[in-house]
Amino acid sequence: MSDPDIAALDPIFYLHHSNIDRMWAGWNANGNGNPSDPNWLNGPATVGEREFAMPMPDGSSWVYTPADVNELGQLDYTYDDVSTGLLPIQPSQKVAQRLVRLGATPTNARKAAEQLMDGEKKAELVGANQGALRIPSSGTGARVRLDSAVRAKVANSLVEAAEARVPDQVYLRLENVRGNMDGYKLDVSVNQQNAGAISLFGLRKASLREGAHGGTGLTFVLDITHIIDDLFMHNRLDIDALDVRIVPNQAVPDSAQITVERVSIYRQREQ
Amino acid sequence: MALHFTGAGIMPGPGKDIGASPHSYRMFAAMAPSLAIGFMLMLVAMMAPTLIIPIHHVCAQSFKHRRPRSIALFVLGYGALWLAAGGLLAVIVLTTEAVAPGSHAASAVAIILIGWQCSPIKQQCLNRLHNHLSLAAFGSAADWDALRFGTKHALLCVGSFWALMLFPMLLHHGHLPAMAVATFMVISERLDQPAPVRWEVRVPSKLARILVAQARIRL
Repeated sequence: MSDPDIAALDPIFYLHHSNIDRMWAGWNANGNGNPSDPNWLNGPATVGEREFAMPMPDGSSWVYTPADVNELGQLDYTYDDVSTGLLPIQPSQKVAQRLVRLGATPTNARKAAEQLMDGEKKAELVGANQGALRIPSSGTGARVRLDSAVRAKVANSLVEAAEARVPDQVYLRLENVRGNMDGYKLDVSVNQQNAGAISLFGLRKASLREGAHGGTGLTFVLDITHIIDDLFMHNRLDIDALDVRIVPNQAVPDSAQITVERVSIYRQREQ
Repeated sequence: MALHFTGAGIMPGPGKDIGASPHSYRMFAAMAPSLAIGFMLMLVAMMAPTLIIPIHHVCAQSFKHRRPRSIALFVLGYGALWLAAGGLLAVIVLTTEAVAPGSHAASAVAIILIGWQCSPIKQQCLNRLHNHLSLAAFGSAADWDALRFGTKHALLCVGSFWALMLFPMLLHHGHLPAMAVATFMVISERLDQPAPVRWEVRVPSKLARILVAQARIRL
């Protein structure tokens, strides 16, 4: 399952992708719509790439677009159960909950969250470490230095949250992760708080200089807004740097050569 | 806008039988500044669309207050290396005209250009253009990285597109249509995904495929 070239030979591949399909159906059943952008509906051909094609039992190929597989009713199958096991929660509810945590009144928080517009949000660099990292079995740490002026913008947005202005989202990026082996998982923490985990599926191929990624490797983004909110609420955000720790979930041989080119922090403005 | 050394008065035009001489090279040296400006205009016309993605990369990797400076350093590194390459291309044109005046020159070099278009080295350069450097964020390291990224990007661009830049420079007529065709090919090749490094006849058609697909959606 860890190598894209042979992942489909593992039966769990089909369970995994079927479950994603079932979760998508569950997402739709909860009243969420699919994208309506013509470029999305018409698939990769709109950007000059090859079309999706599926081999059929009679030897022919079925060429299709996302618009042809937008809902189960278009195809000859269904699921016994499309429940996701989670109560449907709208993104605006999560925003409102965050605003209340940061000091806004519930009424004002709900109003502000409902007024949020979808659309492209601009990201801005807040800080970065210096130099590439090598990931040994014991893990490694990076000191991500913050630009004081940009960090102040993040802090100001959190201060204004009490007035029900939606504050910045903050993200951690592990840029250009490269290596010779797939299948490892890296646990990531920021200032000793869990920031999430990343799975290095497809790392080897993405790192090949003549491969489809041009040797760029993989870049991962983790939402660390909750950690920044926590630092702010405990008056510990007035700092020059964040300490990021990256630890593999199992022993990594030297030959795996897992590296991270840069660790950075970005803010994304909501308004 | 295209450079044309015969038309610039350095070399004899078609139908004349006077080859290049030391005098011609001296004239070339004297006209170097104006030729450099002409080459840079040609470079902007042909390469500017391909710089959107790397300049966006520089912006995304830099603090907002440093972006103008980082972009300027990237462009400086990129332009300086291409300018040096442009000098070499000019010498190739001049020498080719001297050895085989008139249309023979273009024919001879065209064979080399076609060979380069199909070569594994060209594909290797194209592939590596997709690999953007991570840039340092602070201080002189950030400045150095932006300059280094511009220079490295230009080096790979020269490896990928020198033949397509040289093609319009060799022609005695029809520079602008030739530049348009070459620019179309440059953009298509930049938009293509990395491909296996080997000898191969490649038809750069990606831009045409995108335009056709978008026209179908909108019409």
